[in-house]
Amino acid sequence: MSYSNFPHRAQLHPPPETLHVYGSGGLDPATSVSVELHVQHCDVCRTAVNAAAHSVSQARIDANWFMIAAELDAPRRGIVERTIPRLGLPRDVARLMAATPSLRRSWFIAVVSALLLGMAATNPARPNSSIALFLALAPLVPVIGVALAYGPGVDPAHEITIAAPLSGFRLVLLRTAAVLLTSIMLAGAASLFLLRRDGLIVAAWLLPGLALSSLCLALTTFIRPRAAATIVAVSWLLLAIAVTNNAADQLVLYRGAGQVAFSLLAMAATAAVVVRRRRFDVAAEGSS
Amino acid sequence: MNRPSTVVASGLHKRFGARAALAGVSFAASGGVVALLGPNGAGKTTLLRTLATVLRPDHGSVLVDGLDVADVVQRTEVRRRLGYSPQEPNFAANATVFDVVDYFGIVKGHANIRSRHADVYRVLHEVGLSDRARDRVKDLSAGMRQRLSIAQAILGVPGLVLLDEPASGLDPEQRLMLRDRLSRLGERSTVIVSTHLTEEAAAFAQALHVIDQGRIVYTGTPAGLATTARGRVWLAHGQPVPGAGTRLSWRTPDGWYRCIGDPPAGATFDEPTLEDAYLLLVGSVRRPDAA
Repeated sequence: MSYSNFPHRAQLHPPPETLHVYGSGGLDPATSVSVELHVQHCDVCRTAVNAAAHSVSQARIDANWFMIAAELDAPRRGIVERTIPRLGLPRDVARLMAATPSLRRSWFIAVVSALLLGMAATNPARPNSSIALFLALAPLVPVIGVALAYGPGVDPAHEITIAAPLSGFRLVLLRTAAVLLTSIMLAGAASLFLLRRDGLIVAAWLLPGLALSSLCLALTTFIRPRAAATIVAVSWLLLAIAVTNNAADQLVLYRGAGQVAFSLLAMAATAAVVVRRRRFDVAAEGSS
Repeated sequence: MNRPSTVVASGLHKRFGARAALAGVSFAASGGVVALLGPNGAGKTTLLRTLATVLRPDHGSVLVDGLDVADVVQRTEVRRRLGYSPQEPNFAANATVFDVVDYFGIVKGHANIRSRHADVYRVLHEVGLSDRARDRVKDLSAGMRQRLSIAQAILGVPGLVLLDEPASGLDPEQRLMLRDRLSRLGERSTVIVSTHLTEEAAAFAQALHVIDQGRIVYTGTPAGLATTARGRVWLAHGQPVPGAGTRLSWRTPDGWYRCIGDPPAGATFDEPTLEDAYLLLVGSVRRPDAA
């Protein structure tokens, strides 16, 4: 388009499309100059150019703003979420695990206080009964964590999660893994403090912890998580108290035969969870 | 998924103990905004949870775009096409608004982080929460939580959107905004909304299903519902005798008695409203004043 097409006399306006393209900044330099000379003297065309410039830049600002704002408001990742990718898991999996309801500050505080209580109660004069208390409490750490990780009454947005395409079983496994790792680290750290004095027996809570956690998970496919955790925890404590008070060896539960029994229980309960895995995809029966 | 889904439910039955929450519900929807209207406890929530694949019916089937939700593989595909906002939605109190919606983006399988974040921002903008994106859930009002729940339900433009009482907790201005959003949403998705407010249903729905005691008792347009009460609404001077044809009556501000039911001879008829028709319908099943 040549310069002579746009004489800068006000009565010969450039076509509206040209003004629009000029306003959005898309005109070639030569034509731009002629439009520019024209609009300096023409109020009508100046208004049209301003309107075009405004609407186009507004759309561009909106689009850019959506992207920028999304990045600004993107969640800041907490310690759990920053740690998991370092183990080689994708960031989205890290978010799924970090959103586990039980991995909250209140749960950590409860766990640490329970463990401190167990450790404080250890009495060097009666090593066996005090280690028995620690070994009875430590397995409950993962049990409670697992129970509060998934399900109705535990996850506030449970129903929305069920209605999503992500498999409930997969989410349960991810969250259970997150809770078990955290529990083992916490209770493991507590065991290390007792290791020097009491020897390897302080690690004897590990298999009971796994067995009771899988039992609890298996129960949640039948009843609500809180009820499952209560049943498992109370039964376990009753058993532990009965053995400590009546058996000749207070730690008999945690020695060879006991550990074999816990392994079998863990395997049976895990098998039950796998068989009933579809239950994690729908709401609990009888919940209205 | 940018196409409205087709939902066909047939012969749905669901019992909770002795109570029948759904007693043979069949209906179909394909595009537009559909209202489920009914009194509290009528079965609206049970129906929505069943359509949302959360609850398994005792009998009957739900097909979404021809996919049977009873089949595990097909159900997962249906879940990819639906967005669901439950009654009284709740979220982790310490999470931020952005966090919550982004989390559901992951759960719904939106793997690309950049496009997911832009989509999160889009839905927050649509429900008017984009300036609250960094606020924590515990600092939100009930109405904002409701809008947050709607935001996660429309993430990824699902073909089927199920909203359980989305107007509860909203003030009149927000309700107006909700109507506006629902109307836009109905152009690209099938939107099924439950409500117990007749005016709300008339304001946003093209199609209306009235549910009472686990059954659908009316299917049609909101305007059509009002006409079913023609000739059954009249004005009386004195207080009418309850039971004798008069199902419900109430005193109007100018001293008349407005009655619905079977009118006596020579009655002065009045133009029925949607609410008259609704009361007539729901009352005719339950007969609250029969005693």
